[in-house]
Amino acid sequence: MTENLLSPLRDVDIRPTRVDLGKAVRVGRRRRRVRQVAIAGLAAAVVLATAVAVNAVTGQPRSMPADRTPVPLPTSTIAPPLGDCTSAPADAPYLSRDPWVVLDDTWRVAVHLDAPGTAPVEAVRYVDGRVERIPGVPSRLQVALVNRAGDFAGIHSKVERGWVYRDGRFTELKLPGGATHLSLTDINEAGDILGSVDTGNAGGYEGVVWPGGHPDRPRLIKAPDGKLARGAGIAWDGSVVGMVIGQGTSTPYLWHPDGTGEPLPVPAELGQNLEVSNLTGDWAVGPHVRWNIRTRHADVINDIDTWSVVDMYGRVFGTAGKDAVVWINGTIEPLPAGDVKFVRNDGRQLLGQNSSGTWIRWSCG
Amino acid sequence: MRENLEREYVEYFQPRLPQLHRLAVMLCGDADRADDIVQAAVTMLYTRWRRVREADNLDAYVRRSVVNAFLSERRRSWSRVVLTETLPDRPAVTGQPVDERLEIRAALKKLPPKQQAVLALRFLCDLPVDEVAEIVGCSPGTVKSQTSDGLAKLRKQLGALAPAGGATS
Repeated sequence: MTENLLSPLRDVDIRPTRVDLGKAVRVGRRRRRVRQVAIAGLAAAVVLATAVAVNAVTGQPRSMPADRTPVPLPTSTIAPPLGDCTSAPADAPYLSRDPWVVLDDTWRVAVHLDAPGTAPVEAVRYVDGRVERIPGVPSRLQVALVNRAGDFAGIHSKVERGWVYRDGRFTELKLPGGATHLSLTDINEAGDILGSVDTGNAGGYEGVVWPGGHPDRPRLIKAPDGKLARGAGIAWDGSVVGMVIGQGTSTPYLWHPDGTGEPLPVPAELGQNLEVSNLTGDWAVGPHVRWNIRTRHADVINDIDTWSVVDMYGRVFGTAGKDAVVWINGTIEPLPAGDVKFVRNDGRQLLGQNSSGTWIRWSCG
Repeated sequence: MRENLEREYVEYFQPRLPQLHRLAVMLCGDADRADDIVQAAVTMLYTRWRRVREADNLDAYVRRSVVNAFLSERRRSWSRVVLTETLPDRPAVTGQPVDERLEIRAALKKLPPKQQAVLALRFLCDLPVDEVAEIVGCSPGTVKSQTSDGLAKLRKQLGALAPAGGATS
């Protein structure tokens, strides 16, 4: 019986909760104050930016230049040391929206939704510290992804529809024929969106790419032997890294921009079922493994826990037990104190909160 | 927030914290992390309490917020870990027999976060399909397929731990 499978997890003694409502109220008050200050500042900015707002309403391109050039990537596969880290208070207004704010890999752009008072929902986009309020947000949109060009995408809360905001307008992501639901996974600098859709296939969701600027042209990712393809990350050139799933196996896989693909190497000691969890630059990681998608080389990562983040130099951030650590060229190093929540793509900036809930930015190297 | 709203907020949440904590423990398997998840959720709900309190099904909305906090944490992979200035001492490996619960929880953690949430809500919190669908934001059909897919993966991972013959949801 199903209950037998999971029932041991039910029968546990749970100690009394230590959740502190007083702390929630104190932190909540502080967040509200930050938001009110931000809104007051925004009000003045909105008056000055009427022309920009008109552009948004009429669907014309916004004033922000969309930089869709690839992030320069290091040529060496040897990661530089992270160096010493120093901390300072972080006061970006969008931090008060955690965990509903999304940041691009480079932290140039942040987006969250806002509905002050009874006003309609607007998207708030921060680009290099400049704030834009974007009206016309589709009903029940939940923002999931943003890239450094400022394109952002999200799905309806019932996951039956998705939209992308690009060049000043929201456009619906067309579902492939027969698909009924979708989820979004990653977006690259060009605006190519990686997601997955429920096509009714018994095996589950299938990977799909909406090319940048063409949300009406979804392309299902093809897997060999009738198996399912599922993407974990999309590189600047449209290469997709993910898994081929079927017959009880999960094989790491790399799809090239032309749609062809090849399996990624699997270190013998890790067995045949491997997941790929995310991609930054040329580096992909999964539980206990890192790949370079250009050289196809795989490294086993010991002493670091399953869910981890990799930076563009191939440094892997994760946990060892309850300690946060970074894996650099095969060596584990401890990270500074704090409650880290975001890692920039170059690994040199970390954002998190200290024990009193204050947002801290760590700068390393 | 006005004083009466704050009082209402506290009066609503204080008696519900144990069940929200249990929900979070079922999701993540760790009482300390569960505290962090619930703390994040109730803090967010404080900032929106004026509107949240008008929700048609407030209890469901709050549960959804806890699940979202869990999913958000998993998306950030290794977040919510409170770090210390120095590395703590680690216990030596003693060769203790593996706890069945640890095996099952480890297998569950290998599933995609949303699938973990679906299984935990269905089988650890005993919520019906429709309610799980509302909480995780998907269709009932998706909940069923995610359940089936997730259980199949769990059975495969657990191998001998799973009872012969398996089961369906």
